[in-house]
Amino acid sequence: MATAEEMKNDSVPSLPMDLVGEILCRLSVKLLLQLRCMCKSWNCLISGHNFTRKHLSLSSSLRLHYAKYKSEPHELIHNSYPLDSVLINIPTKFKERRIHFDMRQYCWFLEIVTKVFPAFGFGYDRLSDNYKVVVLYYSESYFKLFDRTKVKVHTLGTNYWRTTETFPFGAVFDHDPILNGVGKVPSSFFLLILRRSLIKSFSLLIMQRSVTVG
Amino acid sequence: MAEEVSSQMNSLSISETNPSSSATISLVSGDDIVFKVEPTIAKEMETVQSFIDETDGKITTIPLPNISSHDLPYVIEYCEKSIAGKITKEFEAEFVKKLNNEEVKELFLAANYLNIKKLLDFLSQVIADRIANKSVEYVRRYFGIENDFTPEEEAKLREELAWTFTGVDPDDEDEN
Repeated sequence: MATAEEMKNDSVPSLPMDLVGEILCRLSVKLLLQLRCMCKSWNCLISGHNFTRKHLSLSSSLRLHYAKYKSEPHELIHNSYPLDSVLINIPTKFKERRIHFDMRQYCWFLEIVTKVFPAFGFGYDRLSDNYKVVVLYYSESYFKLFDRTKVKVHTLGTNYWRTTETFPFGAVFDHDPILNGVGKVPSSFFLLILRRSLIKSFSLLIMQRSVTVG
Repeated sequence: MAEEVSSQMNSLSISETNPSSSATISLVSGDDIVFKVEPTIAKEMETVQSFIDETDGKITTIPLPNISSHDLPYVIEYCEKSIAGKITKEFEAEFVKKLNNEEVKELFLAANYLNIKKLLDFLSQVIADRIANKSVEYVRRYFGIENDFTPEEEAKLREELAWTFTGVDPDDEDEN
């Protein structure tokens, strides 16, 4: 029979993969992506659909994600907001950062960006268990804003954009009221998405899928 | 060791809620130390309870070859608190303060083996907290993971993920 000391020395604990998953699903997206470099089995685990879903289901904060296109230099700015702040129109705690995207994605976005004043939203659609990119843009006139706002929805993993009914509320794109801290949040924009699906965090899936989209 | 066991026994008898309940359960650690616990505590350990149920309660001595006498008292302590409804943030903070990284991992494995969902969840979070904001190299050491990528494979993957290694969004940690 082993002594406690011997048992201790024997067990350089290497955790089985299902237990590793229990731990990893509590980590931030960024660290998880880095940890794909750890070894093949971790890469496989973290890239897997089941893990992604588990990670999402544990995600504690509901955030809305919103991407803005900026020209000169061409880049997308990602903003994310706690869900409550959008619903109750309190412009707090937003984050802004540049979105990384490679050339392929860049072309894919540019196709949309050539429309006037586009605004992007990302969301998780519970019904289809997939992520959607929603883009709003003005199709023609700058003046009849309310009539001209168009909506396209892209489901990740597919390579087409679906045009939905015309956006009913109108939206303001030439400045971001949250960032300026004035006016109403473009909540109508988000509400559109909210009605379609419950939006959850911009999570692992989109980060991974975004590399292969296009 | 004997002293540790007896002090554990004392604390168990103090916290005993139902002295007239049926016979105690003996948990035998991998290094052959016997821990007597109340049946209510055994209930918290699904593996132990199903063993008892399968034998219609006739067998009350349960060998736990994968768990050392060093770890078992911690598990029992947690289960006691759990049935007493006294798992607080303060208790949990104190509980893990005593444990080094290896011990946390051992307990994590023990919780898995005994199928104690609450303890497993709690320790998963503890480990996650301990590696959050650490480098990949740190996590590699923490888990004792061998890199089995070829240099070419790793270089390709790192290139693809290069942006995650830059400091562009240092405020990412709550982005779960």
